[in-house]
Amino acid sequence: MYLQVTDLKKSYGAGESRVSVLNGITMGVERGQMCVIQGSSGSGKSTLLNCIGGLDEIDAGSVVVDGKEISGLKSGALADYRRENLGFVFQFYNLVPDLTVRENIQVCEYLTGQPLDLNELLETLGLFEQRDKFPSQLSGGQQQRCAIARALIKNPRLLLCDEPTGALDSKTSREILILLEKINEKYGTTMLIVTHNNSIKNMVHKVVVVKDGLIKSDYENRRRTPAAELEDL
Amino acid sequence: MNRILKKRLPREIKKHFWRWLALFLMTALGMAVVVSVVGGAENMIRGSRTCAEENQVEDGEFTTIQPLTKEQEGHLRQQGVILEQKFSTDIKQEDGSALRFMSNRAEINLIAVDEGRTAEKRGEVLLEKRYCEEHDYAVGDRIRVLGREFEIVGIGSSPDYDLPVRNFSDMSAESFSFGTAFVTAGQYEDLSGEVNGTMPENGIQGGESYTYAYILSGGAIHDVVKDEVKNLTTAFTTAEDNPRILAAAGDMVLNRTVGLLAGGVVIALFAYIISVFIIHQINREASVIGTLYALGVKKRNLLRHYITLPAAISLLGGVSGLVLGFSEIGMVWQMKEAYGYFSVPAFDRIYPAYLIIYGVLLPPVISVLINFLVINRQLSRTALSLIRNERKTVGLCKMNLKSGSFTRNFCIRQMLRELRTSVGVAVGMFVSMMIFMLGLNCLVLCRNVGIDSRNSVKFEYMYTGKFPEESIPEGGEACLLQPLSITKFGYTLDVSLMGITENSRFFDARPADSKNSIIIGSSLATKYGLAKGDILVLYDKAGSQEYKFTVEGICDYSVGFTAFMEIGCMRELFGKSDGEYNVLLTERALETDENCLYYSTTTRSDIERSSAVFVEMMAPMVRMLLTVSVIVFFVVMYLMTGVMIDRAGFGISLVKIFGFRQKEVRTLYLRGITITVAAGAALCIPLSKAATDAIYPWAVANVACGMNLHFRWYYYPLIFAGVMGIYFLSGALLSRKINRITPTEVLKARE
Repeated sequence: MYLQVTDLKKSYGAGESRVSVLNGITMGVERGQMCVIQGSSGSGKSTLLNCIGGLDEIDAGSVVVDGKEISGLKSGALADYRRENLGFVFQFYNLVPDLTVRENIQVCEYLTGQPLDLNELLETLGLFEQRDKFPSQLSGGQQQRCAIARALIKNPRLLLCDEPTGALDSKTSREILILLEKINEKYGTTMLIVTHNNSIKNMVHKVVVVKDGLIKSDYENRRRTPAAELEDL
Repeated sequence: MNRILKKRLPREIKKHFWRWLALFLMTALGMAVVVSVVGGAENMIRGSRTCAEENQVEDGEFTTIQPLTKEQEGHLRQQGVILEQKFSTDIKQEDGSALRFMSNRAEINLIAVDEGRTAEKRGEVLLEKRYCEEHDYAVGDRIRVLGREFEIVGIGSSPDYDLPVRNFSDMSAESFSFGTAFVTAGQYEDLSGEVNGTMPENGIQGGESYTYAYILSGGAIHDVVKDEVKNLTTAFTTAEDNPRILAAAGDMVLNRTVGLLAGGVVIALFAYIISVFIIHQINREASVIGTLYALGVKKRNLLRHYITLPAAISLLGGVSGLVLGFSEIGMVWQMKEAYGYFSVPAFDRIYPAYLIIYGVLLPPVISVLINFLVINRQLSRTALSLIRNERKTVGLCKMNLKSGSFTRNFCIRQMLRELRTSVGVAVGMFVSMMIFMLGLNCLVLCRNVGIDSRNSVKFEYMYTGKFPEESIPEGGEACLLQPLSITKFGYTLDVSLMGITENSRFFDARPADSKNSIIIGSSLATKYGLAKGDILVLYDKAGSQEYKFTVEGICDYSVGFTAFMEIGCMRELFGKSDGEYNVLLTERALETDENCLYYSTTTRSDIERSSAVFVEMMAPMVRMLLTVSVIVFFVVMYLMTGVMIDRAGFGISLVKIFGFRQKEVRTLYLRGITITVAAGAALCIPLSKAATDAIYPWAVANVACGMNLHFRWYYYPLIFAGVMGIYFLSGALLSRKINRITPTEVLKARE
């Protein structure tokens, strides 16, 4: 198992205002799999992703990525873990506004000794023509593609996507999903995609449904639908 | 990564060009002022020291009642003392000014010739340069002295008259009224003989002064000279205590210290202002920073990135300020001010290495330090906190505002949200107000010195005796003057201890019949904060004796530093005979045959003119301080309040969507700032006045004048009105900024 989460617990606040968000999550993802974490708003799916990504502290339980336990790591070690293993894509693209597409991607190029080829990545993501444009000159889909390219340039083994199509229309959402599918095939990147969209589960290898901080269902998707054919995005 | 991020810097500068330009110019201006003041001071200090050394400045001087005999001179020389006469005779000119004639020097206090040459024969004279400047004299011109014509063959200066004052106790140099003149020894004998033989008209400084300059050699010490001449002298002054020698250097030491310290404060202020912008930028980019953290970017990389621009702007500002400070309009202009007061040769210009290091390194180092301290905390938030752009609401911001209108409560919330920037505004206001008050105090002090001096002088003529006298000319009031000194704040200044009669017509002081108590003049009291009952220690340099007096009262007298004692007690204390006096005060000029008893006359108008010179001398400094403070204040105000508006951009846009009108929006967002500025001004004005009043005695520790820094009550509302006026000017620009924010900003911010 590339990613193994065991009895993960997380709460916020203290005393009477304490809120338990994750109440003992156990799940696993194989290397190269695309996995959707699905759930309604407030179910704890983003918190789960943040804990796996080392962005949030874990109260109890274990998260093992590629054989390495990350719970209990200090902030410096967590930064190294993210640097060496992870790529992040968020709902809002969070691009540096006064850097061009190429430069935004290059910011993360230095984080690894063996980055992907920038031009090839730009071609793959359909951004080659836009490489010298600033974020404000791009559409939402193009900005999200740029954010994906930034996450991918360091060739991460695990790509964590938090509502990657949340801010996009259905046509652009489809383009992004096709892209993620293509990247998974081309680079073998393991992906965890948090979404509340019900259709996306059809394109991935594995689906984890979270409700009230617990796993409601966890299953392998044997009959995947290509992203291009997804309905109701 | 930083290589890539560096590409943001020129874009950021382009985007906020005027802001960065203003900060650059402020840093450059601040540094230029510091470098010009400090550089000018350093040039004057080193230049006058070098010049004094090259021209063999005296180690000390003494004035005798009669010229020393050859044997007495020889005996002194045997002790390892190089001795040279510098006898002088003051002669009044047709325009009312006085020229102090001396003969050319051979060994000590050599003349530095700026133009022409020294006098070589009768009918030739070399004039002191400041006197020439004030009278527009040039080499080749002619002057009339005692009815005879003299050709000016040279213009120069001597190191024993750096500060060309007639008396040691003069508050300031007034070169239109007094200068030195050097002639051949033969010529000098003729002139002094003529003056001593035939008394010139009233008010002229008649009588010859027998002063000797000496240089110690072969291990001789001052005490040797002092012991040798103690029964022969009327005055003994070491070079260290001589206000005329190295006066420019002494005066400039303070400028150097204050300049360097003030520069540090101003640069720190600008660094803090820059840090506020950087914080604003970091808050704006929090989610981007969080995402970069999530991707594995380290804090140190971003810290370096965000500090680079402030450091670069500070470095450029510092270097530009340094260049400007060393230029003709900086240091050279400052030196011209000094050259226009002190009588020193034009020195070779120097560019002190420490000042170059200060100018180049201090701004970026302070900027890096302050920005590091401020930014580090912001960047230490977790990736998630940054991505979510969480803002902690702490302390005062949580204040519960149950009552009051929406507008009132909104303004209060806005003020609380912008507390950090408000602190920046207040600090900026305080610093600029301090600069302003330093200038204003300078002006007020100079004016008050003039007014107080005028008001306190009741005599018309003060004759200083050539010899101790006992018979008093009709209409005169005899006083006994003993020159003493006081050492405070690292400076030794002269204090005239005046023995007066119990019913003096010219002084309000009514000293008790005691040798241990004195009444002090108001200038002495205000300068050192002395009050009744305090102990005052005065030193007799000639007699190497220390005196402790109890202050029994303060009287209204502000000419230099003066203390009063009952004349009989004073005679007893200083071993003088009954009836002896050495100063005569009168309401009318003495007859010529009476006049011959005195070698120095000070008139009421001399004192008034001397006070006016103070104002004139300080005017450029006052103008500079006031101008700099207004510029600093306006820029700080505009930039800091501007950043508040920038930060409120989303909110402003939102209330516009809700339908608020421009005027209402301005009320919501500017009223809080207006209140902050008004409250800040109301606090900073008296605070900065109190602070500058407290440091002023230290800042002008080398000037023997009172510390009457009082200004009329209406100055306060006037300054307040000025502050608000400048604020409203910047507010008008801010209103335009608010008007330009469109409702669509909300959407942009969301995206």
